[in-house]
Amino acid sequence: MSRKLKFLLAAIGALALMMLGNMFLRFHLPPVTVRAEPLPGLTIGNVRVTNSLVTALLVDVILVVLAIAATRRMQLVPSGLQNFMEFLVETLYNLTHSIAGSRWTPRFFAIVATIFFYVLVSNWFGLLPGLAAVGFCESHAELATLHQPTIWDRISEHATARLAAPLPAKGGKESTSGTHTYWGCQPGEIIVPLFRSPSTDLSSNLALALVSVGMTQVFGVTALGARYFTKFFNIAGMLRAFRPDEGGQRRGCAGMLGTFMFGGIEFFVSILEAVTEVAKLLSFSFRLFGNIFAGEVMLLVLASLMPLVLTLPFIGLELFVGLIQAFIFYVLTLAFFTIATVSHENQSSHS
Amino acid sequence: MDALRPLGIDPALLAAYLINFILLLFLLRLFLYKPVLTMLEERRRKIQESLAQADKVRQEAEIQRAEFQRELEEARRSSQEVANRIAQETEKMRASIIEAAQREAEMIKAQARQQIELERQQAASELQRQVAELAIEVARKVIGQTVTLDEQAQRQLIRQFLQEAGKFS
Repeated sequence: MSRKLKFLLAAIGALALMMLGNMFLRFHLPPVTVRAEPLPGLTIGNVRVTNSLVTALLVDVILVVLAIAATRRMQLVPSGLQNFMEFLVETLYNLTHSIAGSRWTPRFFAIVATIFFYVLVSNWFGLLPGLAAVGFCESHAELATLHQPTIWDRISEHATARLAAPLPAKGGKESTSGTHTYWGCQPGEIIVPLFRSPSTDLSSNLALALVSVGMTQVFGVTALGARYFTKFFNIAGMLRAFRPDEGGQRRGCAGMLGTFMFGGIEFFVSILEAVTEVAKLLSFSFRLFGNIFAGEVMLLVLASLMPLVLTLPFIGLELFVGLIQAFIFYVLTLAFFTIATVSHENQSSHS
Repeated sequence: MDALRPLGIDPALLAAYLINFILLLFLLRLFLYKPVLTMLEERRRKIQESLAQADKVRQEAEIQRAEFQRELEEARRSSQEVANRIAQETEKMRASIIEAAQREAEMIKAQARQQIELERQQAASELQRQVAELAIEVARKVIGQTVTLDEQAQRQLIRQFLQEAGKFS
């Protein structure tokens, strides 16, 4: 069989699959919510447990089971899973070492590696096909009672209504009221998925960002002591104006003013540093959330347009994005840790 | 905080995720990082040891090879020596055997010569005697029985004559 013929057959098969999917597997786009959905009937204390929290626990289990399976019977000559996990850990360790150096790597490694593995498995877990279809049916009204609708809900609902336009006359029970039938659910009910990638829950991302930024401060203080905080409130430059200059001469009026102005700039920069530190929380959590959430919504939308074949290349793309995002979270955290342990004065005197 | 709730940010959930992360951190540290890094370190050490060991073994082999070479050389030399000595001794033995044989031949020759000499003398004296008797017989026949001389005197006379004759022969 020639190459051309094979190619042709594959194309015809793909087309046939697309048509079959479009005929039999069409579904309405479920409402897309920015907020992780609470699972019905699952409360701990006052908190309604969300599907993303359940998934986070599942991710924990996956990681810990993998770890235990890989290291249960360690052999000097590794094979199989042990070999693979050793490869991952070693690669990550060497990379960490090349960035953080010998002194800090043992302290940084566990945190940044855990961030990497957790984010990676979270990202990829959300890409499991059909995950959005597994869940509980719940009436829209009941969900709505859980919280007061806000501007975000309205935006989200608007987007949903736009995206999930009614299907062209299938059985004719479709109405324009905006309530759709979801597979296995009564009209007026929507699916609350059982699982949702923690990366698409801002709580999880913000928790990771808090760990990252919080530990940055801890390592900064460990390395530099209280001096670390002068990075955020630097008035040393302004105070220098009132001291004699390098030559031991008293500064003149203009000299004093000039030095004071430069000190003022330094002070302003240090305030910016403090703001940056808080902004890191936002950038960390929203970057991860945005990338992964957008990817999953895109897959869902594409699947609702054409259930088969079309999503395939995009799943590959999202696997890549998931890896990259995990790596970015890891590298940025590591970089911030490393920067925090380097003295500010040394840095500026070197440059 | 209420403004953040629609975004999915909830203090209780945040705390749950934080605790979750810390738990995961400790579990992975216990079950993944520590054992793997320990194993990597151990493997590094083992490889280093093995390399050092291999180096040592190679050096030892080198030394042993030199030793063998030396011993082989020595064995070759000593065997050569033995062969040389044997050859020398064989040569000596051959010479002595030939010498002995020559001496014996010499001796046999001398003995034979002596024997011949003896037999010649015997033959000569026998001849002398027979000649003497013949002469007496002849003389008797010639002169009959008139020989006055006694037999003893006659013999003496003849022997004297023969001896003088022998001087000229």
